[in-house]
Amino acid sequence: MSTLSVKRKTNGKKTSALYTVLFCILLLYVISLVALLLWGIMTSLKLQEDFRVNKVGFPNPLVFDNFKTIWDNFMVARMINGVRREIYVEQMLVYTVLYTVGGAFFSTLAVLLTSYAVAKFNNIFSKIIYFIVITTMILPIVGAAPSEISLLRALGLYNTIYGSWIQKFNFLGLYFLVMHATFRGIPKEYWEAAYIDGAGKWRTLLSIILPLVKNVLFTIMLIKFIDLWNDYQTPLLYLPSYPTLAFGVYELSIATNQALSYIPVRLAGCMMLLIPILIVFFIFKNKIMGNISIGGIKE
Amino acid sequence: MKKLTGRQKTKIKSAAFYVSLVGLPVLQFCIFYIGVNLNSILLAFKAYDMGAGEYVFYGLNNFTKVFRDFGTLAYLGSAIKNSLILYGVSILVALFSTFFSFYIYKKRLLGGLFRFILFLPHIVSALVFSLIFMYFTDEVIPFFADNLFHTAMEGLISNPKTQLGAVLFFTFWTGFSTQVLMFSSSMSGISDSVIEAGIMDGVTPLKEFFYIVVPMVWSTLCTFLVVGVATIFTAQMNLFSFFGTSAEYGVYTFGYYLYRAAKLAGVSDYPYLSATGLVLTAVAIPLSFLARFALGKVGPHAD
Repeated sequence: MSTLSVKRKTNGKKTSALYTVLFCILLLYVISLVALLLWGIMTSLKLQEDFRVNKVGFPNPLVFDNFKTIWDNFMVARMINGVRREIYVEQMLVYTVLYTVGGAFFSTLAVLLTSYAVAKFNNIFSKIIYFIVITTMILPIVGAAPSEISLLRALGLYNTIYGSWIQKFNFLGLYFLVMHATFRGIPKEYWEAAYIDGAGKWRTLLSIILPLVKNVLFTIMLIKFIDLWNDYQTPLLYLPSYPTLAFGVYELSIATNQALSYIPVRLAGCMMLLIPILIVFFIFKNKIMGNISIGGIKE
Repeated sequence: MKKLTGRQKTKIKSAAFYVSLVGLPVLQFCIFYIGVNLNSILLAFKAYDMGAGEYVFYGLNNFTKVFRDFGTLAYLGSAIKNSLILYGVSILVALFSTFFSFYIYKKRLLGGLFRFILFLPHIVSALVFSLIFMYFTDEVIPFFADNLFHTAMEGLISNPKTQLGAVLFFTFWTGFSTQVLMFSSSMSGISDSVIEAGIMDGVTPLKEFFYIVVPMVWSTLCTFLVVGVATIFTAQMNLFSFFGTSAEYGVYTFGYYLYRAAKLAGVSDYPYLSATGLVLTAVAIPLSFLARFALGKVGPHAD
């Protein structure tokens, strides 16, 4: 083991063979991730004739025609109330915004309300709710989708945008624990000061506590927004008449229309889904990577 | 009528506030978790009567059919095999990834940049990543095989002989980053004083990793492995992204089978699918607890 220990010094840090090996493998790994994405972006900017002979080189010429082809031609046809409707990319974008923004808002709201109540009130109901959250994270329930669809149909919520929001108004999961820990970490003095100043319970929550946790809350909402933006399987199952952009990209990948069957065109569709979310990530990277790590909350 | 005291009024106000916070979320939970799962249990004992247009009691017939199908249908056999392979390899990848988490945690050369890039598979849609990977392996690799080695080659995803390997590779290739980030986050919770004490004692990086870091993150690793048991029954291995509803039987997993069936099912199929879900849940729950118990008995401890 001593042979793997200190060999030389770089930038003030000792480097060992272990770190060198790990560095090389990690470097190859991240290059493979970035290279594949770059290949996708470059291919989406090629003409089909260029792609046929030039599989990995730079686009020659570099064109945006594939994006125009998608915008003009790609649509998902659905029968709604016995009438055939053609849903184009503009409409998909509207559905995407409704599904993702609404879904992220309602799921974060449910987590906020419930975790605040459980953290602030130490009663039997709070203990039961906390127990439920932990238990449902451990208990693997398999194959409940058919039952959920049949229940949604019975309630008149199946295949509706507001039905998807109600489905998302759910406090279960990791983010409940994150918010619960955040509320628990706030010193009691804040509540006491608000009480002395005569603030009511709602006013204390909205004017004093929320500003303290807004960063964590915003990050949770952002992560949920990204998840919902990329989610195509839930809309495919529960919102068949409201194709989101991700749903559309899935349909595009199996489309039989000649103009949409070329790989550069299909990759242009993928980029239309990818680029907005990459921009969001670059803008908010410090929040996404900083406030909440995958393993929990980081102060 | 008796007048309420100030204390009673405060109690009532507090209770009203509490109910206004948790009332709707708890109602949602009752309908969409308890209601859905109860409905799933009830559906498993019913069949759809086409003539009457309603569900009727069907006894244990759905369960009999599920058990018969597990023994006879080829795709369910593949689903068992592939789901177990997926779990087995994911354990190995998780153990392997802890080394790289250690590198990120120690903030070594380009550690910050690596961490940033490792986030990409979380940000980029799995569908987009799968499609780019599929087009690349089906177009570029055969193109190079032809041009460089003059060998005709089918795409890795489109060739039934290579598609299981290619899909498994893709799943672990993209999942690796999740595991590296998860364990490095867990490692960042280790107290600096513990590490400093080790350094003052002159431990090598390898000893630091095995004797300090691994015991401290063992609980995270255990949680990952226990939660992973459920993924035996739910993980789709990105099959729907690659193949839609038409994957070859040989690559099926339980997760893919159940999602595909729910996607294609009509009302008459729901009882059979609910029975399948119940049977798998009945296996998954004790298996999760068994894994938890077993992992509690083995492995290093932080103290």
